[in-house]
Amino acid sequence: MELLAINQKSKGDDDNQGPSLTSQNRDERVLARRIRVEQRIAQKKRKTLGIISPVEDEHKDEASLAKDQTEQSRQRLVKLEEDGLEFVTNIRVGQDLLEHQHRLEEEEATRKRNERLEQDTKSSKEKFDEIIRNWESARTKELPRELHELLMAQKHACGTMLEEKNKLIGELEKELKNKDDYYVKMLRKFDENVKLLVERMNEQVKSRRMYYARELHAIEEAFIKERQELLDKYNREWTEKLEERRFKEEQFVVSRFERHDTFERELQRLRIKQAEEFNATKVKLENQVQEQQRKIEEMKAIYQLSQEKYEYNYKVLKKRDEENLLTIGVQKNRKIKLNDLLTSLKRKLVQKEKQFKSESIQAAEEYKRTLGNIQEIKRKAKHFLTADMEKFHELWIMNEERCKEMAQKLLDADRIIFEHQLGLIWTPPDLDFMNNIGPIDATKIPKPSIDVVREILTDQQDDSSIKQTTSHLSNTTMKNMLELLCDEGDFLIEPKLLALLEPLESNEKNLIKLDAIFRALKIENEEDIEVMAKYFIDYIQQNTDQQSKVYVSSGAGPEQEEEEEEDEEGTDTSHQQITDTVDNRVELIHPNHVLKALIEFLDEYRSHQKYVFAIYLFKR
Amino acid sequence: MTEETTNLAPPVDNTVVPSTTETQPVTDENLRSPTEDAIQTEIKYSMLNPELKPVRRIIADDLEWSLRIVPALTDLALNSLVKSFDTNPKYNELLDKHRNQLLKSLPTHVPLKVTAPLVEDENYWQKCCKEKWPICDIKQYDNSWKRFYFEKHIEEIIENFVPSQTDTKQLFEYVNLGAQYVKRLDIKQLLPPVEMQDKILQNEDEFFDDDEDNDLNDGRDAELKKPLCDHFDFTELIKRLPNLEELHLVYGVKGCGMNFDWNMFEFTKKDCQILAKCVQQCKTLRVLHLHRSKVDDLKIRMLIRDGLLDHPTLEELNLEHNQISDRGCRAIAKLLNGHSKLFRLNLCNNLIGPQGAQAIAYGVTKSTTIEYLNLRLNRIGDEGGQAICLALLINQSLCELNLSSNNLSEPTGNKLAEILNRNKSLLKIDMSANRLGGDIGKSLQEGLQDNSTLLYFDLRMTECGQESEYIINQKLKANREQDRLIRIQEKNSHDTKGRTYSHLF
Repeated sequence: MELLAINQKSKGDDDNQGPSLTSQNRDERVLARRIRVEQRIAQKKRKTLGIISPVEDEHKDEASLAKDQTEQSRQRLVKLEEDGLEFVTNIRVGQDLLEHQHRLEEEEATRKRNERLEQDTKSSKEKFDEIIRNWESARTKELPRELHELLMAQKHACGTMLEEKNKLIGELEKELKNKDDYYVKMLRKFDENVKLLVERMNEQVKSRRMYYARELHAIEEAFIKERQELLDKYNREWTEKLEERRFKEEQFVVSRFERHDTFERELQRLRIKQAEEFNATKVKLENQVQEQQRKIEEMKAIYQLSQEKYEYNYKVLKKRDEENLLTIGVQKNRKIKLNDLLTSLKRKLVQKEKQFKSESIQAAEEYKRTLGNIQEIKRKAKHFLTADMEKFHELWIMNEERCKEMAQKLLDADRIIFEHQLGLIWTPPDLDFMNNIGPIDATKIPKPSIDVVREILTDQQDDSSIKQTTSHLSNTTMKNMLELLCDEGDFLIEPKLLALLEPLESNEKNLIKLDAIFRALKIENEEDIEVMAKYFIDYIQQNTDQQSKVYVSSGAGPEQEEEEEEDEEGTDTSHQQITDTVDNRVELIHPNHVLKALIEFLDEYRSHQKYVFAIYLFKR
Repeated sequence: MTEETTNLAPPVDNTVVPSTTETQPVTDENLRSPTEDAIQTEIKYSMLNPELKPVRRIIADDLEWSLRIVPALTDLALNSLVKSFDTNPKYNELLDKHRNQLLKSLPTHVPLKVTAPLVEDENYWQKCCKEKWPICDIKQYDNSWKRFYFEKHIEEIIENFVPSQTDTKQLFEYVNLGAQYVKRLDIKQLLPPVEMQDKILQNEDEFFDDDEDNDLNDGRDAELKKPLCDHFDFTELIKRLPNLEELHLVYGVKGCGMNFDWNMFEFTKKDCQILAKCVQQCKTLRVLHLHRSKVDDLKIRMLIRDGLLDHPTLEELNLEHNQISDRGCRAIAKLLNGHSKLFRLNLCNNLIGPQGAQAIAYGVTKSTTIEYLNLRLNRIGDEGGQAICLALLINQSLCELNLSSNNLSEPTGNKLAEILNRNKSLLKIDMSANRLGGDIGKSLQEGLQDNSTLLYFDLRMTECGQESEYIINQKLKANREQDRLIRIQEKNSHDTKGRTYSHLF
């Protein structure tokens, strides 16, 4: 149907305008079909969307209140109507039922009555026949008495029959009367029912009228309310929109005025500024012009002046020039004289140089000869020294052997005294010295610490001495260590002393500082320094130990050492390299750990000191 | 007030002119109540300022002088027209406003002969009606006061018509005047001939004299009078009524009181013959009501045979409160069976038994037009009830069925429950005052589950059980709601068409 309708519509459209389906042109027909399809699609879309179009929805929402009310009212009224109708018709139905029952009863009663009447007619007919028969027999009767009797009997029979009939009539009449009564009763009842019906109808009409009015009122109210709500809504929207518009307009106006003001102000300001600037520049330029004019005047004056001055100067200079020409001539003459003197002096110098060269050659030769003499003397002295040393050694060993023999004797005697005489267990005393062979080396007595330090600090190049003093550490390491101690051990020095030391040279200052520190730490000799150095160094090289021993055995005096150094340069340099490499690897502890190291050293050193002291006591 | 007066006071002479100009249009224009207006203006002027009264009004020492303005000529003319309306009616010549004015003042006792053809104005006829009958329900008369007036008038004449005594001339005069307006005649009583009344009165007088002869005498009299004992003869009347559509008749006397006699309620053979002929002749008749008239089998057969069979326009037949039994029903069934276009058939409170009901059921199966069938207060019993129920299986036009108070019981109930499933045309069923019982209530309830067309089902006094009755009522309510929605939709879709069930609600 709808498609048809659309078809028709589209056809109608086609007829009116656009390409026609029935056109002669093929392209036009194609176009027409396309348009038709598009229209159909659009129609469908509209249909699907249209059902739930927002406008209708809104409309529904709006009408809902009143619709609800009408629906409710309608339902209520329908119920009222139905109930009322039932209420009213109940009477009719009840009456119908009564009537129905009454009819059934009546039917039954009629049937019974009819039966009874039939029965009665039967019986009465029999009796009547009998009477008739008797009448026949009466004709035959001759005797009056018999006849009389018969007549009497007949009369009696008739009487009974009549009586029966009368009775029946009476009963029927009674029934009739009952019926009449019943009829009247029924009439009355009908009347009552009719009255009731009328009453109920009236009531119904009244109540219906009332309810209709009420519902109508309610519906009207609902409509009014809805209308009011709608009006309110629209009014509100309207006023809101107006308010908004007004507000915007106001804002716009205000902003416009503001902008106007600002622009005006800006214009004014710019105008003033421009005017001021213009004035200022004008004034300035005028001033400048005046100034410039003034300057020009001045310049003119100066020019005038300077022109005069320069003219004057020019005259003066001309005069001077003349004077100078004179002096130049004098000087030329003098120069020539001095040049002559110089050449003569140069000749004299060459002569003198030749003379001194020959003299120096002679002196060198003499020096060589004397050096050879000195070498000879030195060799002789060394030879004597070794010879004396051997003699002394032999002598010492001989005396020592005698001493040892005597000591052995004494020990034996002592043992015997202990064991035999006193009966005690003999404990041999310390006999280390017994093992000693050869003279005691005087050089082994340790030097006082301060001397060592001084040596280290002052003689950096004097390697031999250091190697003597510090048994297994290089000079630089030691020096570094001591400097470290100097820097970190300030707390051991008295502050007054520190203040006094302030102006001194760094080397000397360090020396005095170390002296004070060593005094505070009770470090007295070289050994102690060594021990302390151990604590300051993480790694100790063993090679240095051996090397020092080599030097100890070969070492004689400092001077000798110097010479030796020159002789054994190759080996020495090799050792030096080793130590250097070692030294490079040796690392001092971190300055922060100095204090800790010191404490450790002191703990150990003191215990050692006690031990030494104990040995010393025991020796005593 | 004072200011106004002071303003008005100075031009004493000039004020006269505007006042007259003012008053004159009022008198000319205001035809409704010129005199009153004039009086009011007069009073106003006199109250305002006695000196300002129009000069010509001041007539000293005239005792008959009054404030009234001279009535307009039109009024006077109209008044005279009203007075002479019965002899010389002028109506169509007048202007509309004058005609209205005339009708307002036209008295109701003007002869109908004059007014009936001339006056169409409803207000005039309303005035006439209200004068005669204080309570008027105009709705049933197409809102036409004129129709109401004529119908009522003719009805009244017929109801008070005494055969062979009252002059028919007057009646026919009226009928001739209002024939075109009469569509329905609702006659609530028809008086017997006057002789009978005399006879009855005579009988009453003789009643106490001799009991023996009464019966015989009465019977003889009745036989003698019978040819005369007819009611009003409708033949002439109906010939003259071209638009008659409904005819409601009661062959009986209303409010006879203690003068009751059976003969007053006699619907004679002759009456029947006359009526049949009338009905046959009247080709516009749609509705025929004939209640409380002791119509028995013989008469209904006669009526149907001579009058109603193959009637072209008859749609409704109402034979309430008569004595029709099985044979009469057969005749009615024949009427249903394709020999008429009956829509509504009402046989309430007759003597119909099972056979009659079966005959009607047969008729119903054959009829395609019947919509309403009322068999209330009969004795069709279960046999008849079942027959009618079966007929409903075939018939698809019947909308309303009333089987109230018919001595029906379970078998009919079962049949009804069966057909409720299948019948799609029934809208209203009345089974009240029949002992159906609780089981039937349940089966009816089940039968109704699938039925969405039935709207009303009266089960009062049937002992169906409250529960089933309640459920059935709920179902019916739902059906009604649905039906209402459908009808609203239909109304919306095509406003002009649509079923009218207004008679159901």
